[in-house]
Amino acid sequence: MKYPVGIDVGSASAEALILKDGKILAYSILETGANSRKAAEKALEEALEKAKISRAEVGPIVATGYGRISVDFASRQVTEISCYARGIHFLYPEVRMVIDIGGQDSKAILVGKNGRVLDFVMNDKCAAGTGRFLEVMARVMEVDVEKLGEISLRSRNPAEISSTCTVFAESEVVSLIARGVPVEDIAAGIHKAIARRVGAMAKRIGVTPPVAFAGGVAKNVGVVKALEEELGVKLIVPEEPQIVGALGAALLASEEG
Amino acid sequence: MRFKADRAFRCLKLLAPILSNPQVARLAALLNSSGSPHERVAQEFSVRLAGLLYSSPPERIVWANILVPSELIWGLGFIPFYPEIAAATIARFGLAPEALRLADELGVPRDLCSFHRAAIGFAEAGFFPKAGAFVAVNYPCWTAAVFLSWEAFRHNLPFYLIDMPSDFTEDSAHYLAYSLEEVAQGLASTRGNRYYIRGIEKALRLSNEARSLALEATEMRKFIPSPLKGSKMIGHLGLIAYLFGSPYGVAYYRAMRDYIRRIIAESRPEQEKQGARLYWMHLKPFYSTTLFHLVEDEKKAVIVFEEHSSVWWEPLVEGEPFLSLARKMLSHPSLGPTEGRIARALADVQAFKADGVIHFNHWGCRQSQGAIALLRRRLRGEGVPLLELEGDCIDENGYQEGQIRVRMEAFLESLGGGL
Repeated sequence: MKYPVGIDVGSASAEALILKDGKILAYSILETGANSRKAAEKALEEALEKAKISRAEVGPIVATGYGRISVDFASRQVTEISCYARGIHFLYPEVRMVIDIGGQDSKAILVGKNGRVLDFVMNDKCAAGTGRFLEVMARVMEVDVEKLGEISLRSRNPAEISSTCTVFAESEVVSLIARGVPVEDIAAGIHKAIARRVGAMAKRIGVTPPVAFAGGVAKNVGVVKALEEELGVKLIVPEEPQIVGALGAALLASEEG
Repeated sequence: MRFKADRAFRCLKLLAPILSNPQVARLAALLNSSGSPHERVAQEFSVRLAGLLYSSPPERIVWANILVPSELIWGLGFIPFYPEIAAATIARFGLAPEALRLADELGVPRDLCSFHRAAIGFAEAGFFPKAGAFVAVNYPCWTAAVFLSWEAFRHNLPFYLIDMPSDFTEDSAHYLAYSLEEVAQGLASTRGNRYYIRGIEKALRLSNEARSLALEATEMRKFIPSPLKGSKMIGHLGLIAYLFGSPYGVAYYRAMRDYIRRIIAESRPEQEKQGARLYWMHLKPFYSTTLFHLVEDEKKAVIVFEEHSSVWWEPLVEGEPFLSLARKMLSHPSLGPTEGRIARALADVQAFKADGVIHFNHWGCRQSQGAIALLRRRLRGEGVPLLELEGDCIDENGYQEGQIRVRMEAFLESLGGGL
């Protein structure tokens, strides 16, 4: 038996996912680092180890994500837009829009009833509204980026932060800290800034519920809350939002002969 | 880079008197045997035009922006020079960064269209042919008119502003015709030409002949598989602005029509493998990119037609040259309400059986992308997918290869290719 595999190499993390009989058998998530190909190899090895299968048992591999071209051992490359649509459709067939906020880009995708892309929009040449924005702000605040979400939920009065430029927003955060604004208000302000940015992008193609939220930033409860307020809809967040791209890629691999 | 531009300019100035000879221009085009017949005409014309622009006395040269009808300038016995098209040529040779840097140094705001910023930079450096007069149309692109008036002011030369009405009515056509006649009279008087109408009528005849041939070629481009490679056609858009009213326009479209006819008869389309059919709106990056290699060679999508290749106007009437030129200008789909442009796009999508539309959003171009949201909504309402590519036609720093690639690939995947 051959196992189809999907590998998603993003700017921040790489994921490999193995399917068995149309179900998720195993997956791995690790940091991409400087070498996309090595990250893909390592992610695959880790997933194989978890699945307790050998490399020889691997069937077609579809690579996706920013580093997909460097995965030269894949049978083909497909964009993350198509893979996110396919992956979310598998998990939640009723979903009509998926928003993904990754390390260096964010996107909103309208998904058809068959899991195909109807329309999409991505951020342009700017880190505002991406995971990188959160990382920069967390560093300035000297807070662990993974705790930023929970901290922000305590806020009663979110700070106003520019949503247009990471560099300017960083200066704003520095001055807010200097003014003694509570850390939870700054964190909530940061999340609101991201939500405004991504929300505006999603509205360009028409927010169509049910809406799912995927990608690493979907693990941040503060961003989820801010985005729900911005869009006026309840978001569906998968149990592991980081593997949706790899899942879509694996599903496409499973369709290969 | 400055050295490269300097050297190119000196070379051009030196060779200009030779290049302006039609036989030399023809020979130069023939030496490039790889091009199709109409491409060779385009090359011949480009060589000759460059020769004429750099060897003729400035009094014979009129700088204009792209909606100023070339028929008017050729017909009056002048040589048109469109700085916006020159900017695209500069970009093609990799010289735009230098031109843009010069514009920056002059304090030209960076949110201005790079066609005009590059033109300002190169004009400042003295690389453009000298002019005797400047003519500008102020709508839909106001920046061009400002740039040309600035150049006229700097050199203390005549500047004619054609005030373009924003709607097409009989009254507006007469108003515009009057404005065109005034420009014609002004320009003709500088050469002491009292019989300029004859020249304009001749230009109108040539324009009509080219138009008929262009329509025949357009009709044949609807054939499946698509006869021509769309990327090459988008590359000719600048040239087309010069052709109408010149014998080269007739030669270009005749060669194209005959070439397409032969392609269809011999079943040898320029692009052998053809997948998704695309309709291309607005412009493209003129510097070197892998965009069209990705679309046509890697993904096998075919650009079946381009918005700006469209023959949108009615035949010109020799007996009423200014009124018919005014009607041609006023019926341009980019003028007036966006509905006209959308209707044209929808009609072309249907006629050319396009699966999707690409709109290249040129940074700072208010007239093309101001209504992009409306265009997207209307096309989607008709079930036509649209991809907006954000970039810059001239400034290569405004082009993100990876981002463009992922959007284009995803769009083609959504059309069914590669999944």
